[in-house]
This record gives sequence, C-alpha cells and structure tokens, in this order.
Amino acid sequence: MTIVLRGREREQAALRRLLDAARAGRGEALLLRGEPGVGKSVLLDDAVASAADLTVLRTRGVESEAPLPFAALHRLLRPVLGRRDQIPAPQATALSAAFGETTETVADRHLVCLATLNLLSEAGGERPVLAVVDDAHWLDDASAAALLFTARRLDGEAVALVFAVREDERGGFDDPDLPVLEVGGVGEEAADALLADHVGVPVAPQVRAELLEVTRGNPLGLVELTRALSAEQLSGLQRLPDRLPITEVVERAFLDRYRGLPATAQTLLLVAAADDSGHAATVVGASDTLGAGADALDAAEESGLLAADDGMVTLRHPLVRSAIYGAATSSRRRQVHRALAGALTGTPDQDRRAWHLAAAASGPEEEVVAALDEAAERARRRGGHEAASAAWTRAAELTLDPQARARRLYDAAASSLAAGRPSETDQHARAALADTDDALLRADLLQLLGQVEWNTRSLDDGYRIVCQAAATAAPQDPARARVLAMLAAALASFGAHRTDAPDPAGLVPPPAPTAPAEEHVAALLLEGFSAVGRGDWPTAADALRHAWETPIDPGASPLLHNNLAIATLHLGDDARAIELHDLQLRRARDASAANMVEHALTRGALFRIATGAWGEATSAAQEALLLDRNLGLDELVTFPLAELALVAALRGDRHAPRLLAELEAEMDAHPPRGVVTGLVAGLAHWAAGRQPGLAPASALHHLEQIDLPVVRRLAALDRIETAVRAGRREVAEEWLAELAAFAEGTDMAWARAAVHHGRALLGGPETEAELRRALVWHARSPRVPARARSQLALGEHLRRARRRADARGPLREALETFEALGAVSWADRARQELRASGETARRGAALVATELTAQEAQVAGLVRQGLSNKDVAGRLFVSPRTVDFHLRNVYAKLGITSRTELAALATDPS
Amino acid sequence: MMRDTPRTFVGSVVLLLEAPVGRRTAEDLPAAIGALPGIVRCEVDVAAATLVVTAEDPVERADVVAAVERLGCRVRR
Repeated sequence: MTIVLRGREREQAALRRLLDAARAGRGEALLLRGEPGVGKSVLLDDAVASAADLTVLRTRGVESEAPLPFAALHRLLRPVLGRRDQIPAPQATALSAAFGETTETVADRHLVCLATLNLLSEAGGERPVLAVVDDAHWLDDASAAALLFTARRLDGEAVALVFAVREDERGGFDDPDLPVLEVGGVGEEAADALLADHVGVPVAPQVRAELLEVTRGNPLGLVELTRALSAEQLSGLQRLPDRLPITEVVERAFLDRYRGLPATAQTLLLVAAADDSGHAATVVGASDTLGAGADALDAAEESGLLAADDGMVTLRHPLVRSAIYGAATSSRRRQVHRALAGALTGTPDQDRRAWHLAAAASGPEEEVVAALDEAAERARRRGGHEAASAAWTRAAELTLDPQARARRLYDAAASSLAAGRPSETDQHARAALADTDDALLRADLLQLLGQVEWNTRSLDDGYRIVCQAAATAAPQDPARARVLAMLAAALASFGAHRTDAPDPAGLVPPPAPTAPAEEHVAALLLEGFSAVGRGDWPTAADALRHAWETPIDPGASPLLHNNLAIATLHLGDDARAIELHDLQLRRARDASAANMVEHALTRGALFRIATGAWGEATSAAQEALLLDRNLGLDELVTFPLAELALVAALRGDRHAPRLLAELEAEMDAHPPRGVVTGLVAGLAHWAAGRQPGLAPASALHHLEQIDLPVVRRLAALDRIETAVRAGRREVAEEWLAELAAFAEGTDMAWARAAVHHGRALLGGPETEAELRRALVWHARSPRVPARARSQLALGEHLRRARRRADARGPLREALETFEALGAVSWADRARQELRASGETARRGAALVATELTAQEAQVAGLVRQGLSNKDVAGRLFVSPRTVDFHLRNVYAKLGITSRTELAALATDPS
Repeated sequence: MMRDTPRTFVGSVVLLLEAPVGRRTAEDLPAAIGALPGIVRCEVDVAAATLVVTAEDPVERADVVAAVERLGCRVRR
C-alpha cells in the first residue's frame, strides 16, 4: 500500500537523515513524541517504506504486556537471532534464557543488553538496519532497558533505531537523553487533503476550520470526528459536539462505531482489546466461549475497528483498545479475562494465562496465585526482575494468609532490588513487615531494607537496620544472626556509626565447638571487625588471621566470602587480599557477573597500588572504568577513577593533575555512595596531596582530610613525611603513634617498617638505625614502593653525613625500583642523590609514552594473551566490532599488521 | 495489565501519590478509604506521599483509587 503523507515534510526529512546516517555507519536513535493519533505510526511506516535497502526490524509495546519480560524485544530481534553465534557466547546464552528458549538463568542482565546491541551491530555489518519500536511507552521494562542501553551506543554502527512514544505515557522514556522529534498536528492545507483522502464527503469551510481547531490538526482526530458527524453537522446546519480532549474525541468516535455493531462482534472486539497476544486463535477461542461465534470476526473486521491477517488480529489503533475496554463493566472485563485464560490453557503462553487469571480473580484463589508464582519464577530466571517483582506482588495481593503473603512480598522486594529499583524494594519490604511475625523472614526483610538504606541513603541508618535484623534472627537462628551481626560489624569498621544500635558483637553467643567451619568463620570475622572498630589490634589481627586460615565451603554464603576478602583491607594483608580478590574475579568472570567483576577489579587494584604492581593496578582500574562506562554504571565510576588518579600522582606522572580534575568532576556528578564513600574520598584526598609542585602545607591540608583509617594507613608514610615537611611535628607524632599502636598490635611487617621510617623522619641520632630497621622489616613485606622510599631516605641521610660511598648502595637500589615502577619524581630524586654521592647515574631507560588510548591498550593486552576478538569483546563487555575497530587503530599506531606481530612485540605496548 | 484491568486485593498495598498531600487531605483520606467495605486500615505517609491500604476482604483497587481521587489526589500507576 502506498502511504500518502500530508504536511509531514519536516519529520520525513529528519527520518531520511537518520537512515542515511545508518547507511554511512553513523548509527543513531531517534524518539518520535506526540499525542495519540498524531501520526507517529504512519511516519514509522513511511520510514520503513523508504528503507528497502535496509534490514527492517519492528516491534511494538503493548500496554497489557508489561509483565512479560523481553516480549517486545524478542519480536524485534527474531529475524536476526540466527546471528547468535557471531556474538560472545555468554551474551548469546543469556539472550536465549531471556527469551525463554532455555530454562537457564540469566547471569547478569547486562549480557542481554549487550547481546541486543551486538546482534544489531552484526546485522548492520552486513546490511544497514532500521529498527522500529512503536508505542515504546508500553514496552515491558526489560525490553525497554535493553533497547535504551542499545540506543545510547549506536555510534559507529550501521543501525538506526526509532522509537515512537505518546507524550502522555512515557513509561521508561521520561528523560531518555535521546534526540527527540516532536510530532504535532498538521496545518490547514494538509488537513483538507487528509479529509479528501480518507473521508471523501463535502465539509463546509467553517466546519473544517472548527474541526481543525478542535483537533489541533491531529490527523486521526480529524478523520474520525469528521466520519462521526451527521450530514447536518458537516454542512454546518447543526453545531458540532462539545469540545473534549482529543483522546476522548477519538475514543468516543470509536465507541460509537463499536456500539452500533451486533452483540457478538462487540464481544469479540472486547476480547481482542483485553488480549495482548494478537493471536486470532486465542481471541476467537475465548470469544466462542462467551457466545460469539465465527461470524463475529467478520462483523468486527467489516467495522474497520479490527484487522485480521495471517492468523493475527490487530486493533485499528491503541485508542480502539482503550475505548472499548474502558467502557466495559469490571465484571464483564473479568469474564473476558477468564475466557482468555481458558483459551490459553495448555498452550506455551503460561505467563499470559497467569495474568488473565489474576485479572479475572474476584478474591484470593490458590490456582491463580500458583500460576503467578510460576510466572514470577520464570521472569526471574530470564532476568526480567521488574516482571518477577510485579508477578510476586500480584500473587501477594491474592494471598489470604499474611505469612505467605509476606514471603511473596519478600520475593517481590528482592526482585525489585535486582532490577535496580530500591524504592520499590523499600515499599514491598515494609508492607511485608506489617504482615509477618516470622522472625527469620523479618530478619531477611530487614537485611534488604538495610541494604537499600546504606546503598542509597545513609550508611549509619543501614547499619542500625542490619543490627536490628541480627537481633531479630538471634533467638531462632543464631548462625544466621551471626552472619548478619558480622555484616553490621563490617559496616561499622568502614565508618558506620549509631549510638542507638546494639553492639553487633553482643547479639549472638559464640558457636558450639562442633558447629560447621562457616559458623566459626562468621564468629571470627565478627570478632575481628568489632575489634577493628575499637582499635583493639591484637584481637582483630588474631581473629581475622584465624578466619582466613579456616577453610570453608566455596558454596558458603557470599556474604562470608566477600567479607573475608574485605577484611584484608584492615590489616593491609596484601598477598592474601590479592589472592582472595583474584579468586573472586575468576568466579565473577566465569559467571559473567559484571558487577562482581567490577568489584573484584577495583578492590584488587587497591592492594596492587600498595605493593607497587602499578601496571596491573592501572590495567584493572581501567578495565573496571571501561566496564562501568560500557554498562552505564555511572554510580561506580569514581572508585576506579580515584585509583587511576592516585597511581598517576604516586608516579609523578604529567597526567596526574588532569586525572585528578576528572575524578573531582565525576565525584560532583555522581557522588560515591554506601560503603565505598570513605574509600573513594580518602583516595581522592591522597591523590590531591601528592600532586607535583604542591607546597607541604597545601599537601598536608589534603592528607589531613583522609577520614577512613584504612586509607590513612595506606597513606601513612606520605602523611607523616608531609606533616614533618610542613613543620607540623605534633601532627606527625600523633599519626606515628596511631600507626605504632597498629603495628604493635598486628605485627604487620609493612606497618613496622613504616613506623621505623616515620621515626627516622622525625630526626634525631637514631635516624640511620631507624631506617636500617625499616629495611629489615621491608624485606618481609611486599610493599616495594615503601621499601624503595626507605632506601632513598637512607641514601639521602648517608650522603648528607658525607658517607658518599655508603649512600650509593641504597640509592642505586631505590633508583632501580623507582624506574621499574615508572615513579618519575622519586626516580629523579634518587638520580640526583646518586650524582651528589659521586656516581654518574645513567639516564633511566626513557619510558616510551604510549600513544594507545585506554581502550586500545586493554584490547592490545588481551589480544597479546591470545584471546580472540569475540573473547576480548565478552571480557570487556563490548561488541566484537568495537574490538576490531580498536585493534585496527592499535595496528596503525604501532606500525604492524597482524595479531601475530602484536603478540611478538617484546614489550607490552600499553 | 492495563490501567483499568481489574485488580482485586487483600492485605496491604502501597499507593504512590503524584504529589504530596496537604494536612487536611491527609486527615480525610483514612476515613474516606476506611469507609469502603473490606478495608481495615489506611495509613498516610505525608513525607513519602504514600498510602498504605490494608484489606481483610477482597477489595477492588480501582475503588480505592477512585476514593483517593475524589479527594483531589492523583495516584501514580
């Protein structure tokens, strides 16, 4: 059918530009926005008609389909699903699970988002793609999330993605940061042409003018209102109906037509309005049970309100649906939903059946609740967390027993949290708490509430709620209570504080000697974290070491495993920390769990900064940063950025000020929240205090603002040294005393070394002896940069004491380490000292400034490890085409032509 | 579900209001909603602009929404 558009030149030009850009590989998304009936769908049809040389994919949001996860996305991608083998395997697997083709669980919903982007990208690589999403405001949440993710990442792809949304129903498109094309009413000339095209009856000029004014040029309104007018009204002899909002005008016109049909056709149309599958068999089957036989479909079709084609039935416009459905009584709607549920019995469409049953229910019904429970479970497996939450909420609403209802609300709350909707989690959990007196369920609900609180609002309040959870569980399940108390104590050890909360350590008795190892580890961690909080280092060190050395089941609570790793921060046990976080990273990579990968990378990097594995730390932080950016995890970005800024500052890198500025801007835009707040702020102050050329007083001003004891200890040497240089001896002495108490209590070699170095900085006759003692302890610690700094300090001291020959040994060792670290400013200082000691220091091998961008360096590094482009893409959560793009840049910059040459390079180009 | 799909419930449901309510309306809401058969409790959280409605017998959500809207408050979907 040829579409003749009237008065749409501006919109058609915009769509043409979009298609041309996609043809040229400059993909973009566009949002058409306007009131119902204004002609968005017709514009989409027009764009499709002009895209004969493109692969066209289409889908549509359906209001009643909201609880069916990925339903709309599945329809869109169906024609290109054959390309699944071209995208990274974890993404392909996740996509199959999301579409319900397998019963596997989607490990991480980001994988479905990436699979969507990459399938479109691959399809576009062969032939440009036009993807069209009509009525996007009604997309199910999971489809909307995947498509918005894709829409923001089309740069460089041969893909055009067009959404149409109603301006009064935005769904997930409230503030979509996509280019928007507002579609308004048509002008007079176009309106006349439209009426001539579609109505074909004479309309008096003053009536035409009034129609145009009433409908504000809305094409559907114009046509339908005109069609509904009597001959007298059209000629102007009788006044037009009362002025109503355009939606109501059109709905009323449709409704008048509907009411003029035989009862059986009305029944069928009402069934079609309540149906969301569009399957003729379902609609006809359900209508049949309501007494509307085969002739009903013909009559409905003849009315023009419905079209039937190829086994599908389509209502003329969404306003037909809302008009007919809205006019039915609620008991009639229930009958219709019951009939649709009946028609779907025994079909694979069990999710739809469950929701029709729920709509038909006039009170609690076990069969309905069971069907909703199953639908929720399926949605959860598919990664449709919003849909799972909706199904569990609806099941709860139809559950009479308050305890069972609270259990379902708990499931709804947990799914909302997985969907990233903490305020919904909060509501469901609070509603459930009102229903249940089951102590353990209450504890689970409080844990969820606490998690929402500390992640989105107040760490202190979150801590109080977790304490309450532990106290609630304690009488019935001490083991569970102990894990919760341990969690509370861990939060307290990272700065959470409430005077009105009980001491977590006092909430549960110790486990029986025969209790499983996991219980003992929870108790040891609880004891350790509590001791950290009160500065009782001997107890803390003893308990934490004991916890680390107790083997537990790999399948034990993730809370235990995560906190074992986190506890290493308190003692600065670098080797163990790296081992535990690397294990976490391997598991997270195996599960393709993006958030856990990010977590393990950033935590692991922290210890590598301490040990001087700065290349690895940078690489891990960069990977975490790319992952955050690729997946839109904006709230996590400051942590890896702070690590990059710090490494640059420690190195004396010329980029350090730029990285610090970038960090500070990001901290303003996305302030860190929850338990990482103190860490990120501390690292940022440390980096600020180590900027080149800063006066000691200014540097001290930054270093004094590090609040979190963990970061204070990591930065101890810088803090003490800066205080001395700023002439603030009393501050240096106070900090040194803090560190000495820690060193004494924990016997950590790095801390003992730092204490001796600190004492040397304060001067006196013992300087040399103190530095030599520091070096003895350094030999037992993996913190290489700190060791080199003690060597440098010793060399400086000896040189100033005119013992130039003695000075050279430690200075040479220090220089070697600083050069290996790429610590430019310290290496320069060591070199100058060596020269002053009479040795002609060779100029260090100039570090070849790499020309590669961070993403290119990541890609090059992984290709050198032997990974294929597809595997690199999976690892970095990008598309294989993006990897290919970066790799070609790497080749060009390095003057090579193949991955074999890249692998053969003697040094890492990054 | 569509906006007007039947939605009978028992137990507590949370309704989010489009805008914060005034003190006067907050005082009127519990009586207006409590008058519906089956409702046993209605609590208004003015700060959070939410309404927690508890039913012991099945109640149609649309009836609750209509009662709220009669007092001039709009309920979010």
